[in-house]
Amino acid sequence: MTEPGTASPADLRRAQQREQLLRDELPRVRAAALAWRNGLGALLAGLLGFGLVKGRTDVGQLDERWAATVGVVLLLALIAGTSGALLLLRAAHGRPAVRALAKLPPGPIADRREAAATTRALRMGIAATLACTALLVGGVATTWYGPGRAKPVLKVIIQGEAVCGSVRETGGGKLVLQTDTGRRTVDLNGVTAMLPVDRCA
Amino acid sequence: MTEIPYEETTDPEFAGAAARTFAVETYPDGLLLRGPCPRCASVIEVALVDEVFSRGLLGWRRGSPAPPPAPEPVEPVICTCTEAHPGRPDGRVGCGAYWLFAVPASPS
Repeated sequence: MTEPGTASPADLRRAQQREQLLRDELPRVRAAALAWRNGLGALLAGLLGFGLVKGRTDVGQLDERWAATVGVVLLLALIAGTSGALLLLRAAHGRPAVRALAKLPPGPIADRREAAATTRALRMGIAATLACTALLVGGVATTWYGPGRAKPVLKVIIQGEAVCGSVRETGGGKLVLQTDTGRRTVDLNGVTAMLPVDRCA
Repeated sequence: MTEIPYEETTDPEFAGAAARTFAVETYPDGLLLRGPCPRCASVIEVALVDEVFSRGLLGWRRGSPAPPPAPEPVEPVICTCTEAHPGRPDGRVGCGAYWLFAVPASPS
C-alpha cells in the first residue's frame, strides 16, 4: 500500500464536495424527476386539452387502411404514454417493493444504486413520453391528411348488364350514375336489381 | 462525555490510523470504506464511486458506455458522522477531520 501523505485543504474541499454530491444525489434526481413529470404532463394535457391534437372526430371517415394505421399508431401512443407515465412516477417516487434486510447493501451504496436506477427510469420515461407525443401528433396528422373513405356506390343490373357508379341525380324514371367511364343514364323501368356496394369491382 | 467540537483539521496519524482500522468493501458501484473516525471515533461509511447524477442528465450515451475508471490510488476522506459536534456549519457532516486514504489495489 502506498503512503498517502498529508492531506491539504484542497483535499478537504474535494472530499466535502464528493460527500455532499452523494448525500444529495437521490433528492436531486427525485426533484428532477418530479419536474419532468409535471412538465411533460402539462405538455400532453395542453396538446389534448386545448384541442391542438384534434383531427376528424370520427376515424371511420378515413379510408379503411388508413384508419387501421391510425388505430395502430394510437395504440402505440397509448403504450408509450402509459410506459412513460409509469417510468416517470417510478423516478419521482421510487418503486414500491419489499426487500430482504440481509440483502440490502450499506446505505451509501444503496442510495447510489437507487439514484442510478432513478436516473435510468427518468431518461426512459422522458423518451417514452416524447415518443407518445410524437405518435399522437402523427396519428392526428394522419386523420387530417389521410384519404377519406370512398362514398358508397350503386350497382344496377339492367338488361343483364351491370352498371356501377355514384348517384348523380334521379327523376322521371331515370337514374344518372357517374361511372368510371363517364355519366350513364339508366331507365329505372328496365332495372332488375339494384345493390349498394362499397366500390365498383 | 465531552463533545468534540467541529474543527477542520488533519494529522498524519489520521491516515495511519484509518489505514489500520478501515475495512474496504468492493461493490459493482464502487468501494465502501467503513471504520472509526480517527478523531471522534464514530464509525463512518464512505462511498468511493465514479459517477453521480448531474442536472445535465440528457447526455445520452452513444454506443456502449466506457467502463468506469478505477478509483484514485489515494482518496481524500472526511469524517461523515452525524454525531453532535459543536460549531459544525449547517449542511456539513462529521467532526471536521480529514485525511488521505490509500485505496488498496485489489481490496478484499
